[in-house]
Amino acid sequence: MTDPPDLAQETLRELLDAEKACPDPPPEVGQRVFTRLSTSLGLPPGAGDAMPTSPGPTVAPTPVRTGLLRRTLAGSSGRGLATFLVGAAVGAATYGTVQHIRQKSELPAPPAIVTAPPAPEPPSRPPPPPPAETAEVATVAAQPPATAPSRVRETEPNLGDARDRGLAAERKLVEMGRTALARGHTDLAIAALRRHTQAFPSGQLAEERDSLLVQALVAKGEFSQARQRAARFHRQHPHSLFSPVVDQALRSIP
Amino acid sequence: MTDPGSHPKPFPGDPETSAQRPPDLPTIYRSELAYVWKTLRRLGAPLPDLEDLAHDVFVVVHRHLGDYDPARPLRPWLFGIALRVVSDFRRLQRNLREVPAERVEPVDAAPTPHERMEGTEARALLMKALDALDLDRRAVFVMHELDEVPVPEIASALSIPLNTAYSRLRLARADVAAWIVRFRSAERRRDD
Repeated sequence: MTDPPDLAQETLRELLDAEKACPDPPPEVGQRVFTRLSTSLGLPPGAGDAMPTSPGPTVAPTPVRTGLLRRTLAGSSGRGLATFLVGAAVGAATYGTVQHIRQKSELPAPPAIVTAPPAPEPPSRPPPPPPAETAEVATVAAQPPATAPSRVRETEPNLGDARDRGLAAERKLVEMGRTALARGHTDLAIAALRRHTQAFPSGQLAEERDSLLVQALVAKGEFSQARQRAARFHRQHPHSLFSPVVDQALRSIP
Repeated sequence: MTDPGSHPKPFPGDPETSAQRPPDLPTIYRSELAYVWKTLRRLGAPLPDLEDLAHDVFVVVHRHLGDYDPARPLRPWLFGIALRVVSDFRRLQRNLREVPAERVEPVDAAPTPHERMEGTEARALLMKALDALDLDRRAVFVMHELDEVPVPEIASALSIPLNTAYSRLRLARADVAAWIVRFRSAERRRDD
């Protein structure tokens, strides 16, 4: 026996109503993202002071209309509830563990990224075999997909584009540098950014890398080197959006 | 669901003044972070990556703020940026092993535990249904059904022909409804 289309539509409306009542992200998330943005873009301190500090009335979810939805979920209410709670607990624990491992593994230099830098490929070249720019990417790429292929994956173009993965590797190094800098580990930040310089001298994120490098040098107290780097930055990227960040870092030199 | 093409009320997030000067990034951030956050989630961004992707969206907003026309509603513009960020993210992640993540919602104290559970479960169910869509259809569906943006505005924001937008919406609705029917049938079979 199948549902008439109206029932599916009504259930869908209830699901949509529930989603519309979805709570806002917690305020601390807003603060965290804004702190990162400030570092990335050189926003003035205090620009995010008026961030909402509490979920406020907009987050209080309206009660979900639970007619058909309740019936939809009721068939499995006991099992579904237990499954959901167990799943949520496992998910939260897994997420916490992954975050912990990620934080621990980000600061020490992961050797795999640096050892075999993939040079950005000129667009005219035919797609090369995947370069071993990171052991991590190469390892997971070799594994078969864990989930059943969806229509998205079926219709997407051929997987594995060197340019994309080069950008991913670039981003990883720059993010390492940014994170280390934000945490005050200037040596690690400089090391990560210099590895990016060696691996991707003219990479897509070179501008961001160079601006972070100036900030890291200033933070470390290497003022003359920071000034040289800043001068080179302005020569190479005269209209950069990161120029204010670089100038701000120079102004902070005592 | 709203009737395509009709949009009696203004979009949330419209610049009230429709001034010629675009709002600055901190202002947009303060007013639209929640919208961007929810949009990224609705477009299928994994929970552990939401902060990174929200950061990326606002970096792009910062870079392209000069391109934004203050006479136009803000949220469809932000949606287009969020869609590109999610699309890029998915392209970069496509060689990685995909682990279906348990969607854990932030706990909110306002509703009763039962309401909260039911709302959370309903949201998780909808996300699973949306996961069955490709990103193009998903984007149109989310924009229209959840953000209540009229289809012509969607077509403009996503730079697609109007008929394509209508077609994607129709197909997305059919796909989601079919998914719900399959889900209910499977639940019934399991209970029998």
